[in-house]
Amino acid sequence: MSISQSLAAALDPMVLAMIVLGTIFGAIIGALPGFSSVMAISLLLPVVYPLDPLLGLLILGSIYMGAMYGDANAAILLNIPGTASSLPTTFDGFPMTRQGRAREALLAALAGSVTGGIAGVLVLLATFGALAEFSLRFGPQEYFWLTVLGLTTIAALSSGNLIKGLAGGGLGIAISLIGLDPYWGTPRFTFGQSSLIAGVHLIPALLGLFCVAQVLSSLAGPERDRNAPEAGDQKDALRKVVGTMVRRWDVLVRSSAIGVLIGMLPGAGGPIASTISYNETRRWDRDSASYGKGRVEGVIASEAANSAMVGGSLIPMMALGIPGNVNAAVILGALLSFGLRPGMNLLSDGSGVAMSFMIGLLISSILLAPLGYFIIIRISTQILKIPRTYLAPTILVFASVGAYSVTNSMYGVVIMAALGIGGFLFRRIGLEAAPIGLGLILGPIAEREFTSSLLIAQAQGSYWTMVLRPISLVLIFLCLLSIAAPVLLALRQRRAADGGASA
Amino acid sequence: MMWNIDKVLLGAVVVFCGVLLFQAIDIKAPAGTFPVFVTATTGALAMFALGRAFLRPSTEPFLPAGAGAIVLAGAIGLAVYVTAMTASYLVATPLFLFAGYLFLMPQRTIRSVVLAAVVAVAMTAFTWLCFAYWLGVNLP
Amino acid sequence: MIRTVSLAVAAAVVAGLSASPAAADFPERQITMIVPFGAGGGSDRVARTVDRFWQEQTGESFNFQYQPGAAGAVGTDAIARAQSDGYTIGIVNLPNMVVQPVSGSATFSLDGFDYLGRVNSDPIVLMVPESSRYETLEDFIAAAQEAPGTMTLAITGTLGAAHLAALQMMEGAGIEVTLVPTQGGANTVARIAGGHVSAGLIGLGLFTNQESGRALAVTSAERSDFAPDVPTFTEKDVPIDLATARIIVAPDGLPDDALAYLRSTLESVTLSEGFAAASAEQGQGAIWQSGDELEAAVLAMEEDISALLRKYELID
Repeated sequence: MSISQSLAAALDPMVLAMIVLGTIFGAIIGALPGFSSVMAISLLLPVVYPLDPLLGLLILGSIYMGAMYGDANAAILLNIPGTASSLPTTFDGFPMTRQGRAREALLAALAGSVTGGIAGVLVLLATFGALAEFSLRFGPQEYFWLTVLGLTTIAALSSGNLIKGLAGGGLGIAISLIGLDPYWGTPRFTFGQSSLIAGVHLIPALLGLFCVAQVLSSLAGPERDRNAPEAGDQKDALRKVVGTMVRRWDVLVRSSAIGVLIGMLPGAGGPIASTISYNETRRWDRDSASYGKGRVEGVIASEAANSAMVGGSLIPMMALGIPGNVNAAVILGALLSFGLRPGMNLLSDGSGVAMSFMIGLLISSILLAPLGYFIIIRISTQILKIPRTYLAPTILVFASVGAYSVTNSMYGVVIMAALGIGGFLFRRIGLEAAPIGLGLILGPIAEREFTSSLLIAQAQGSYWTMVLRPISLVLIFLCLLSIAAPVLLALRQRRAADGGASA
Repeated sequence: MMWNIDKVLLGAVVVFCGVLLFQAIDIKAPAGTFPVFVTATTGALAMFALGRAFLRPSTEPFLPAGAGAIVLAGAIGLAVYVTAMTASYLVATPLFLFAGYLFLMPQRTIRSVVLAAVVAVAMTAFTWLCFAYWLGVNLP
Repeated sequence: MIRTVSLAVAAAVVAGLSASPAAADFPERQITMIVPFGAGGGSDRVARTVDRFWQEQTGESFNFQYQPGAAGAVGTDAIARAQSDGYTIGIVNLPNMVVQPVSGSATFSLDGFDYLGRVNSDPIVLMVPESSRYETLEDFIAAAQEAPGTMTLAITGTLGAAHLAALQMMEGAGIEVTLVPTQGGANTVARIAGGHVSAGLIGLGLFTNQESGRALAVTSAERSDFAPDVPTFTEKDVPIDLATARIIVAPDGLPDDALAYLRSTLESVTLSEGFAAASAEQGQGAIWQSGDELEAAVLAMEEDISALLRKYELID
């Protein structure tokens, strides 16, 4: 099938309708705390099986794309990441809301997601095989340093209080250790509790740390916060965002590239993509200290990366049969059950489904722009108008149900409540939720890659193998840069303070 | 009086890391390396922060004045709700929501009370529809 | 008198008629299928395939409930603790289900289940990257014998089929390699394909669904239809007969009619052509093993696996 025929197939009205519905549905699912895109995609699997392969794949794909945009809305408006991938969006998104610039932030997230999404799919279309081969060069050592790089974002976030920030990150990792030992397969740190054998589930934990703790924080806020913060009548928000996009095209390019690259690495995933993109954007910015206080570039960076990740994760999935993350894995399952086999032959097998699928995804990411602007943002800004009186208890209920549904037992809810109350208390003493959350997310990945690297090093008789590899060296260098900057900044601040005091 | 919570919480973190470290040392290599490193480092960082808290006590109040009651109510309310939820989601949820709305309301009028009740029931129905009916989750 | 007798007969007939529909009425409502893993994973796909053909045969579908955690131990435990009225069943992996109670990561025990049947079988292959210089299993074993412990072998998960296959291979071939557990089949494939480890053990289904590397041997007793060129370990004098199997179980103590209905429906679903074809698309071989045979096999497995694990000091 030629490209024009595949294009025609993708533009079929029925297909387009499904793309639109899938994208909206995905965006809503992504925006609601407690729901996850994987849940949505896998629920629709049985519905999708009897359908035409192209329709089925595109429904799943558009939901994936929509969710990676939608999760930004709750992150910005409520400081609750809709999915773990939008965690860095909260870093600057929520402060912007507090400053009355919510509309700007929402538009920036939309713009970032659209550009990132398009970029990701374009790369998928263009490179297909070549990049997939490159992604295989990332071994456990590279993955480990990648997670370390992600963790160094903690240093950047906590420029006010480095010790507490690092302690928070470490605490997150420590908590993630509870459960089964990834090497021995036996329980550890469970204190004899059989329920802890499963460990601390990530989604309920994040719901607690971000949702519950945030609600409790808002309860502690001053009286006037009882009514919703002003969404701000930012008539010029659109103009501002477009201006930023044009001026800071470097942010877009860098974030999309990072998103695609990390999306390609199986097991790396959305949170790593958005975190590293955020970190890199901050690092290369002249005014890096103002990140975390409402820099719109931070929002763009995070969202562009996690949307570019969509296309990225599908590259190894379609070219090699190795999915980049769980969402891609579910789509791989659908692909297989439609009788399609991943590989270079996908493009040339004559059915044109693969090509139409990729074109359809492109359409989905382009459609995000109008769908997001006219529908999602409008709904989201309405949410801001709801006074805290109604918002707070309702969010708590949503979080509780969401936590329950992940584990299908009260265990998830207990984790959520415990980490919620604990997270709130820690926040009051300066141990912010973001470092703890990053530790929880990245800890398990860091551990298993570290252990793998260690085993390989021991087998080959030299610990240098953990470090002396081209990609690893680049990553280690970036890590050092990441840590150096805030440390130097802190020292400079102290010197200035001392200098001022003694003057 | 309130700022002691700073030290208590940091101390709890130190203790937690210490306990984990103690257990981690017993794990056979190579699985023990990472946990030992993480718990030792985190514990050390927390101790450092604790030390600093003693040397330079923070002057900020733990909670702004008057907020303590609301937050405590929120936390206790959540705990009660979570416990009640095990018995029956459909009963506990509207009760929790209704109580929450009323508690947080700046002024309680007949109209707002009725609105609170309606929203409580509506929210319960919505979440039940989404999760229990559509997603098939077995809510209690 | 005749009237009384005929009334009695009529009553008996009515009673009989109303009794049998009640028995034949199982199931009266939707059956819940517990999946001890995340949505979209391998077990979920198998369960969905079963569901698809169950629906074709009986017109009913399952209510899926996901209970991930502890490599399947949490969900498996949930199945064991569910009400044994026949309305809750679950899909479980072998050999994981056997290993978990033995290794201490589970709170269920093997006799807590009624076994409905085994629906598929996924043997393990020894995969090497394209760039590897090992063309046959003998090459690999020879290299491992020359340099004990220096070769690395990626396995998916710990205490799963791949791990057991690795142990059996080391024991049977008399070699020592360093095992590198990796989380998730996709990651394992990536490690092997990228040449970061010398070789790896992954499921045949996963291997055939992707493009890179080659397989040196397979752990099934006979060559697989999905990879007829791959010799078995047994052919090469390394006795291994192992596969990941997905089985359907229910909590212990099901009423007879429910048990019979579930077993027979499962059998006809698994043996149906559509199911075999659908499984083949996923690279899985559909195999039926009835509940009783399955139970016996599981218990036998428990002994062998415990011995193996104890030998390698993985359990006490």
